Amino acid sequence: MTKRAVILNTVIIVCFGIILLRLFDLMIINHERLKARAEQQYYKKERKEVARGLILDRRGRELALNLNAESIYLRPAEIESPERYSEELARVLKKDPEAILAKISSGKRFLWLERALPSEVVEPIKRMNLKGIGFVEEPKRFYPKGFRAAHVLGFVNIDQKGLEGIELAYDSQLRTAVTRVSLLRDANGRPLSEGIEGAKGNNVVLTIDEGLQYISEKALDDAIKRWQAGWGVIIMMEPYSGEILSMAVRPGYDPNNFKDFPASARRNRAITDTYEPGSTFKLITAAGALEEGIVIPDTKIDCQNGKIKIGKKIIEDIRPNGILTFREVIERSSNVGIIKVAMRLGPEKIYHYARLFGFGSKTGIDIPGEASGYLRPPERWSKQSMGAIPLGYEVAATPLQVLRAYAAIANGGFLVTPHLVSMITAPDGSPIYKMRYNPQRILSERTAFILKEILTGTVSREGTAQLAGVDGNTVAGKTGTTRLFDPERKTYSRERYVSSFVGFVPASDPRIVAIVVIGEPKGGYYGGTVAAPVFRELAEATLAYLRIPREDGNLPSGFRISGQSQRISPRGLYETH
Amino acid sequence: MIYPRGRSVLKFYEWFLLVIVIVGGIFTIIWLRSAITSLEYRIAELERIKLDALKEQKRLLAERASLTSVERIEELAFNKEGLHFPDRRHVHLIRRVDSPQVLSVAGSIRLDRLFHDDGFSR
Repeated sequence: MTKRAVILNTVIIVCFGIILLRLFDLMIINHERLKARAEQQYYKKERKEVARGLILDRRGRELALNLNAESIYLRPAEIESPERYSEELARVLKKDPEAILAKISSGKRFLWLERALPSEVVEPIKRMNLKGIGFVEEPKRFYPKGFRAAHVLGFVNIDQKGLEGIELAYDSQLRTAVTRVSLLRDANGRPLSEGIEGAKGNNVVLTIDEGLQYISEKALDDAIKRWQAGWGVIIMMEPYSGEILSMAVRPGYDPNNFKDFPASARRNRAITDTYEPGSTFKLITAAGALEEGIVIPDTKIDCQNGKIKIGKKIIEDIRPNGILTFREVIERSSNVGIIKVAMRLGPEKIYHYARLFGFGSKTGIDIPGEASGYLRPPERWSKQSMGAIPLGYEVAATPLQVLRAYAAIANGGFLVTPHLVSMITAPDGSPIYKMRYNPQRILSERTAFILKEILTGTVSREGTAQLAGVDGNTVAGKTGTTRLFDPERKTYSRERYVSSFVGFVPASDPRIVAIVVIGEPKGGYYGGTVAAPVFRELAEATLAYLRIPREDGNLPSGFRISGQSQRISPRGLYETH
Repeated sequence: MIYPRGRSVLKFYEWFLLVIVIVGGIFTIIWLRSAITSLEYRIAELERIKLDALKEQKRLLAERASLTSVERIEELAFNKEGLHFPDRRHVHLIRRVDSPQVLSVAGSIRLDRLFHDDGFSR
């Protein structure tokens, strides 16, 4: 080998040696540090807002969903000409330029200019290519039915966090969590892969039926307009399972623009507000007396021509009654009659049965803000309490508590847990969790049957609720008329009333139990005049909607019924979801 | 040092093949890497299209939900189509013996239209 060849070989070997050493340095010694640095360049960690799950009605109709919106943020330190920026932005956003200028001049490193704007507003700003202004895509909650079931659904804040109703109660399920995803990007920082199959929240399937909700809200709106009432509530429930089919509350609000409505309109009066249930509470004394064997339906009671003195107070009937049977006492809503039964039953038993029916404690409905009502133990009753509590005064209950008590009669003696969510499903629709509530027996079947029969008489015979009757089906129920307490005069008002009716239909095989409460009606105040007709309107539309046949078999000639109609299943009105 | 002639020729081919393989390998790796990058850009583009389609789907879903609200359907049926709810007395639910499905029959019938003047059915 020549000398030159040796030198060449040596140079080549040394060069390769240097390369090997450099490779050793890159791949072994500084591997971790360089790898981290490379990843920092290639991958971009981005905070991805998880889209909230959908809220669906029991038939799968969307009640709450998401739209895409964009938010604009500022990095004031990078903005060179605040005056020009503020004018240009104000022109597009139709805002006060001074307010924008104040934000830009705030000296902060980051701040939001506007949140959750539609794309058509953001696009012109993007085209301006302004330095120091950034854009973030965010989901925006949208309630396509507007006012419909607003008090049940609730609403979310700008950060998509539930603030009321189902949105708040099931926030953790609907939202799951905010995720951080790694996006691969090129040398210019452009993302190579969006990773769009990001996390989504679970869907919540309600027991509410949009059709029944509409029927309820329409009936309530009509009633409030007719009676110029201050507020109103209608709740419809499946009596065997406790599934709430509709919950209408007025005044209402649009959850898409909830800030435009006062807090009083956003309150779910069906569960947060209590009232004295009046004659609808007579059910407690009646149930206790029947259960304890103190009376039977035909027991005769002297109603003393409609007057009785309790303590220093004289309690009167609306119409003077003589001797009535126990059945007639309930049907005609005799105050004197029920007080006499209550006196035989005694305060302890009345309290016991009131608690048994769920008064004085929360029903356990699955939305927040429920009131437990007010029911004093017998040791705290006054001398007049025996003349007030059996009549539904000195007791505070939510409309839902009263409804639940009547559901126990409708279903044969079981106390159910009212609930609004039937199922939680994964984003692909597969069920994750199905709600199960076990009803608890509180009354014998016999007592429930007798009461059901008596309550049917309230509507169909000479009772106070004849206007609640539905053509072709039997209705059972009870009216209630309560004077509102006037805190200024410290007495019950003679101008302000709460009218209510609670009942179920068809009485023989109840499919729905519903309560109508009309607050402060004008031009009428008896439950039988104000609330009972609303129930009839509600029941007629509901029976037609649910395709529940008439019971009177009124068929044209040539037709005959050859089999049972669609029957309620113990777990719900519908055979399938 | 003296090498046999044939062996020297073989070594030259070995070197040539080695260089070809190394250079080819390097070019293949570069080509693959470039193809993957192009593919990633293409995927990113498709993802953007998919994202736009999903946005449109969301918008359409919201529009459908608004359009199919019971209130709107009732308003259209009553005011535009002139429909009305049937009298419940004229609605009969009939269950077929061979099928569990519930069928609803709605509407009112004028009995005189069902029969000829001679009393026989049409």
